[in-house]
Amino acid sequence: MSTILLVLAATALAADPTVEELLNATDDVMRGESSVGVIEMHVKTARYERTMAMKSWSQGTEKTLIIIEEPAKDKGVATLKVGDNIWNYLPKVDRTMKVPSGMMSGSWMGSHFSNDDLVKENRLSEEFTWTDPTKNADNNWVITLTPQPDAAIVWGAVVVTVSDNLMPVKIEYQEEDGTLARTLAYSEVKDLGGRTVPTVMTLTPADKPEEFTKITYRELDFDADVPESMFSLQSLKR
Amino acid sequence: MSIIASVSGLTRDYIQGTITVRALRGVDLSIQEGDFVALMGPSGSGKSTLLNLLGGLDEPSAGDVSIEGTSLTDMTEAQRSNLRRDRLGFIFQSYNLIPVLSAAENAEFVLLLQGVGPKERRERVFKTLADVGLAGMENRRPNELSGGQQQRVAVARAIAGKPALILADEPTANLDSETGNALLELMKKLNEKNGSTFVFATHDPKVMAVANRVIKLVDGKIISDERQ
Amino acid sequence: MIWFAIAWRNLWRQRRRSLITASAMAVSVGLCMSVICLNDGTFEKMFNVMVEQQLGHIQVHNPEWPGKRGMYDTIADLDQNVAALEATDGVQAVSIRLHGFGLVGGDQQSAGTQLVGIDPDRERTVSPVFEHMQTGTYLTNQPDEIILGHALASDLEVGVGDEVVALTQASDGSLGNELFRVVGTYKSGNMAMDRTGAYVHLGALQTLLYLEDQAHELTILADDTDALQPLAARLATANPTLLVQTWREASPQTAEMLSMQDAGAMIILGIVFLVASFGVVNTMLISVFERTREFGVLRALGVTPLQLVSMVVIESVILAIIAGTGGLILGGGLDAYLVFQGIDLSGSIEGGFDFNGIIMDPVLTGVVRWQPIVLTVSVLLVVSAVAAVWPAMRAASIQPIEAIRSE
Ligand SMILES: Nc1ncnc2c1ncn2[C@@H]1O[C@H](COP(=O)(O)OP(=O)(O)OP(=O)(O)O)[C@@H](O)[C@H]1O
Ligand SMILES: [Mg+2]
Repeated sequence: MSTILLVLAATALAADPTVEELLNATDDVMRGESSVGVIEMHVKTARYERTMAMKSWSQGTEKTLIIIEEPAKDKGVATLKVGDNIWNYLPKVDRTMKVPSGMMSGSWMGSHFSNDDLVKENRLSEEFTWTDPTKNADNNWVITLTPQPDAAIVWGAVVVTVSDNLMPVKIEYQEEDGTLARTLAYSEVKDLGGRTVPTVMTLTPADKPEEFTKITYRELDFDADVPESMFSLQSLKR
Repeated sequence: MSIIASVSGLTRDYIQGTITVRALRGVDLSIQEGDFVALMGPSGSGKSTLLNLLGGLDEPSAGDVSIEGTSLTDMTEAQRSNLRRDRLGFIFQSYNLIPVLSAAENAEFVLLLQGVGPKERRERVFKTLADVGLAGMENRRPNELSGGQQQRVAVARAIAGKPALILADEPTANLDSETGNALLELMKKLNEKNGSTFVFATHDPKVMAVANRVIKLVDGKIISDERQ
Repeated sequence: MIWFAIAWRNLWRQRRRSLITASAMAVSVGLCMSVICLNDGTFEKMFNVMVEQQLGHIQVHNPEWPGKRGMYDTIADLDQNVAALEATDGVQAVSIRLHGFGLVGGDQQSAGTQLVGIDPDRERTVSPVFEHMQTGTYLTNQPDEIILGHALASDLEVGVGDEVVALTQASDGSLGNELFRVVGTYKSGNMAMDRTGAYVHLGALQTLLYLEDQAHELTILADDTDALQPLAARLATANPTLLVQTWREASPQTAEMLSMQDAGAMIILGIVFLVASFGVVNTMLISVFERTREFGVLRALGVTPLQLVSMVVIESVILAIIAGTGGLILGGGLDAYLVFQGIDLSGSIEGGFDFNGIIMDPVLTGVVRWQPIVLTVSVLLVVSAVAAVWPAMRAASIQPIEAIRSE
C-alpha cells in the first residue's frame, strides 16, 4: 500500500518543472547567443510622458549597445554596456561618458529602469537561494528568491511568477523590510524572431502606481550576426 | 553719678552633657560712672562669665543686664554689636590685637567702625597712643611690640572709641609684675583723668590698691562689695 | 576702605598659599581664554563655511523644497520675486541658485555632481569663497563657463581650460547634455561643496534642465545678522507663496552643530571654574579657621556679622582680581600666539582635516572676542565671591566668647 503511494508521489513530482527550469524560463526569455532588436520605450511619470524608439544589439549577457532613434532631441544617444560598465555617447557634444559606480542606481534615460538594471543581467539562479515553487490561484508557479549573502543585490527578496507553460508572468522586487518596491510584468506573448516570447515588459514603482515604463519589442532577431566591433567606444562615435 | 551698667538676678548655667555648671547664681550689681571696679575671686568663681555678660558677648540664663538703662536681652545681634562698638571697650588677657594692623591702625579700628572722620581719627589715635606711652611706635605691627606694649595698644584700642564702660579680663596676667603695675597705673590715670569707668577681673592683689571698689565673687555669688 | 586694607593684608599673611591659589586661578583663566579663543576660531571658520558661504542669512524656497529638494519644486517669476526681496528694508543682497544633479566629466573620469546655476555677480556678494579662486577665474560672461570644486576637479583630472560634459535628466525626461569649459576651481572648505560642487551660469543650467526662468533657492544677505528672525518674518508675509527661513530654520543641523561648538566652550568654562571655586572655598576655609580667634575679637569690638562676611568675601575677590589680572596677561599671551601663529598640526595631518564636513586648515588659529574674556573674568570674580560666602558665614557665626576663650 505504502509503496503505491510513494510511486504516485514520485510521478507527480516528476511532472512538475524544476526550479532551474522555471528560473531559466525567465532568464532566457529575450536572450540568445546574440540578438538585434527594435524597441519602443514608453515612460510615464507624474511630470512627463515620452516615447522613445531604440535599436539594440547584444551578445550574450556581457555586451549590449542601445541607440536612440526617436525623439529627434535625443537621436543618436547611445548606451554601451560591457560587463559591469556603462558608457553613454552624447552626439550633441560628441562625447562619451562613463557612468561612475556611484550613479549606477540612477535612472537610465529618464525611465524607471536604473543603470544597474542593464548591468545586472546575471542569471537569477546564480545569485539567489529560493523556496520550492508553489502554484497560485491563476495556476502559475511562484518562487521567492532571497539574495545570497555575498551577492550585491539591493532587494530584500524577489518573487518570480512563471506560467505553467514556462512563460514569465511577472517579477516583484521587495525592499529589505518586505514591502513591494516595484513590479516588472510581462505581457503580449507573441512569436518574434522565431520564438514565442512576451513582447511587452512594464515596470511599475509600487509607491507611484500611476507611473510606469513600458518596453515593447517591435522586432527581435535572435542569433543574428553581430560583429564584435559593435561593442567598443570607437563604434559609439559613429 | 549716673549708672552705667546694672545687673539683676543674673544667672548663667553652662550645661555640659548631664551636668549643669551654675557659673553665676543671681548676681545683682550696678556700676556707676567713674567706677574702677576690681572683680576678685578664686578661679572658677564666675568673673569672666560676669564680664562677658556685661559686654553682651554672652546671654544670661536668667536675669538681666542693662547698659546705660537699655536691657541687652531685648537687643538684636546687630544692635549688641553697635553697642559694643560705641559704648564698650574690651581688654583681654592675651592682648588680641589684629596682627595685620599697626598699633595706630588697631587703635583706629573702632573709630573707623564708629564712622569718625579721618582728621579727628588721626588726632585721637595719636593722642591715645601717647597717653598709653606708645608715642613713636604708631607704625609698629603687634609682632614688633613687647607683651606690655601690646597690652598698651589694647588699652588704647579700648579707650579710643570713648566707651562708657571698659571691661578688662585679667589684663596683667600675662605680664611681669613691673609691666603689670605700670599698666595698672596707666588705667588708674585714665580713670582719674578721663573719668573712664573700668571693671577689672583680676587675681592681682595690687589692683585692690588702685581700685575704688572691690567686689568679691565666690561660687557665682557676690560675697562682698566694698568701696574704698 | 579699612575692610579692603585688612583683607589685602590678610592675603599677604599667607603669601605662599595666596600666591598658589591665585596662580591656579590665573592659569584657569589663561587656559579658558585660549581654549575659547581656539574654539571661536573654529566656530568662525565653521560659520563662514556653512552660513556665509552656503546658506546665506535667509533662504527662500518653494514650500515643497525642504527635505525633498525636488527638481520641480522651483520658484518661478524670478525677476519679479527677486526684485520684491531686494526692495525690502534690511536685505543687502539676493543671490539666485538653481540646483541640478548630474554627471560631469569626460571619456575616462566622470562623477555625480551637484550643479548649481548662479547669477555670478549676485552670488559673489553672498558667497565670499569665490573672491579667491584656487586656480583660474570666477564665472565671467561666457555661457559655457563652469567652475569646479578643487577636489572634484582633481577627481575628474581636469583643470582650467579643459572641457567637461554635463549630463543630466532634464525636467521633460530628456537627456540634458552640454559641454562646459573649466575656467576656475575653488576651495571652500566645505567638503561637499569641494568634492561634488560645480557652478555654471544660471541661464545655462536653466536650459540644460529645461527649467526656464526658474530657480530653487534665493539666498539673502541681511544687513543685520542679529535681526534675521524679524526680517524673515516680514519677507514671509510679503511673499506668501514662498517659504522664507533663516539659516537656522533652513539647516537646523548646522545651527545645532554651531551651538554645540558654542556649548563646548561653556562646558570648558564651567569645568575650569568648578575647579577654581573648590580652590577658593578651600583656601578661604583654611584661612577662616586659622583666624577664628581674631574674628571673635572683631565681633567683640563691634563688628557685625554682615561686616565680617563682607570682609572674607572682599578677601576672596581681591585674590580673584590678582588672579584675573595674571590670567589676562597669560591668556592674552596665549591668545596672541593662537591668533598670529596658530597651532600647526600639519606635521601629523596632511592637508587639513575633516571636522563635521568642513575641511579645517591644519593650522588652527584663534579668534579673540571681548565678550568671552569679559565673561571669563566676570565668572571668576562672581565664582570667587560666591565660593567665599560659605567660609565667610562660618566666620560670622563664630561666637565671640568661644573664640576668645580658645587660647
Ligand atoms: N563655656 C563653658 N562651659 C562650661 N562651663 C564653663 C564655661 N565657661 C565657664 N564655665 C564654668 O563656669 C564657672 C565660672 O567660670 P569663669 O571663667 O567665669 O571663672 P573665672 O572666675 O573667670 O575663673 P578664672 O579666675 O580662672 O578666670 C567655672 O566653673 C567654669 O568651669
Ligand atoms: Mg576668668
